[in-house]
Amino acid sequence: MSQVIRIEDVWKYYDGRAVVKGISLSVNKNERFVIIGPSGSGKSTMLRMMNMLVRPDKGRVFFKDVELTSPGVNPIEYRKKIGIVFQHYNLFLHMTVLKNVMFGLVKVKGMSQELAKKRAMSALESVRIGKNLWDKYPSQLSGGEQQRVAIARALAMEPEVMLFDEPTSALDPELTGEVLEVMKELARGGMTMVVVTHELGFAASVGSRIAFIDSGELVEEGTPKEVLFSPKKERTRAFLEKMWELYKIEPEW
Amino acid sequence: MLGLDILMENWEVLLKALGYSLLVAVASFSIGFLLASAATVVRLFSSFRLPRWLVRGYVEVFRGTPMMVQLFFIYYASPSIGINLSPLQASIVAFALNSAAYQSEYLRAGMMSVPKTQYEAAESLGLTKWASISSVMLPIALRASLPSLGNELVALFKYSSIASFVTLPELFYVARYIAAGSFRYLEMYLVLALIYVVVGFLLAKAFRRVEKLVFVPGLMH
Repeated sequence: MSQVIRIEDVWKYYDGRAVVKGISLSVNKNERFVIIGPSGSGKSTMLRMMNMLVRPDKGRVFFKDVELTSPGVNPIEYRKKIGIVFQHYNLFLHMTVLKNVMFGLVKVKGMSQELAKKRAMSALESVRIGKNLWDKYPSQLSGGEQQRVAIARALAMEPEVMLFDEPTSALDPELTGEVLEVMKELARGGMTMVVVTHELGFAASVGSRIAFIDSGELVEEGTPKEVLFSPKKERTRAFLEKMWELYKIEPEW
Repeated sequence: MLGLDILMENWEVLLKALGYSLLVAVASFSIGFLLASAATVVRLFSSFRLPRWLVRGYVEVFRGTPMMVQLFFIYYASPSIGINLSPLQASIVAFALNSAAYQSEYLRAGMMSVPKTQYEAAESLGLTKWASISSVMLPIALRASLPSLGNELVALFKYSSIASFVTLPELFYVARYIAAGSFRYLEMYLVLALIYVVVGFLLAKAFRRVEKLVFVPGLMH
């Protein structure tokens, strides 16, 4: 299986405190790699290292065969191949929906306006954002709609992998469904995905591999069945018990 | 009517003088804006300390000294280093440099009101630092700074009266001349004040049009 993203013993310190402590993992093509763990465990920081939005203080990051952390490599060149979707959508506030999706195509890929428009329209249609919203500004959309536009913006760049940083955490519960549905469609289409989430239902049904991260350490990794339903480590167990309780689901152990 | 005849008798000179006042205001505002944009980007985004410090020093010096001193310095001191500026040139240069310092502070405030996540989103699409700043951060910051910038334009229009002290025949200079020649001080200065109020109001109005033109729903809270 071919690796799309690999991180090797990455560390990150903020104010002298380590928030990511030597995590190594690799994500293969067509895989849905789901990362779970408590808030503040370093999951988002780790995800941001995968496209070098956060530069690790130690360790190495690879995109396919290229070491992004190597001094001779400019990670900007590879960002267009690594899509990312943020918790708070981060749509460009001064651009319409359509312009948001066209922006990267024109500015980074150098596409003509017409071609970018065409591509943006089909990306928006694929996340079911209808024509009536294309000329609206982000603030005029619901959270769920904004997040789907953000997915379209990343998708339009035709990335080889998509990173999701708690894509539904900022949404009202009744809006998470529409975003998760779009993500499931992406998964079915074979998109390589790395998803940081608290949605255990999504992790169980869509994830091909699950990693549990706590206090900046990779505690446990395996199939959804292994990690979610028969965790080996006590820390994983304690976390999941709390989570399942939230979902009113009785654990099997 | 009080003042009307003085206006009728001198409208040609006053109109020309108004032209000078507006020219100084608009030219120094525009040049100041370009300088301020560059200064703000350097101050907030340069990876090097020295240029950041230079910009800060520039802002402090020009905010910390009277405009009149700056104008006199440029008009009377520059010939001694071989630069001869006309009253108009010296006024525009002095006001532009002064205004750049203020405008850069307004732009800095605008820039700091833009969520950092906007920059992150641009970067994550593969944009370079400069492209992220110029096509995402600046357009948003600019919209946030527009009300302050409008203020600055009106202020410059009023401060252009200082240029009379380097003999630029702008509104205040001409008004003083007319008043002294006719001994109609009250009428002349009333008319002068009225001209400043009306034109200042129109400038502010024009600026609000620009604000409306680039308005984006939900951007400014």
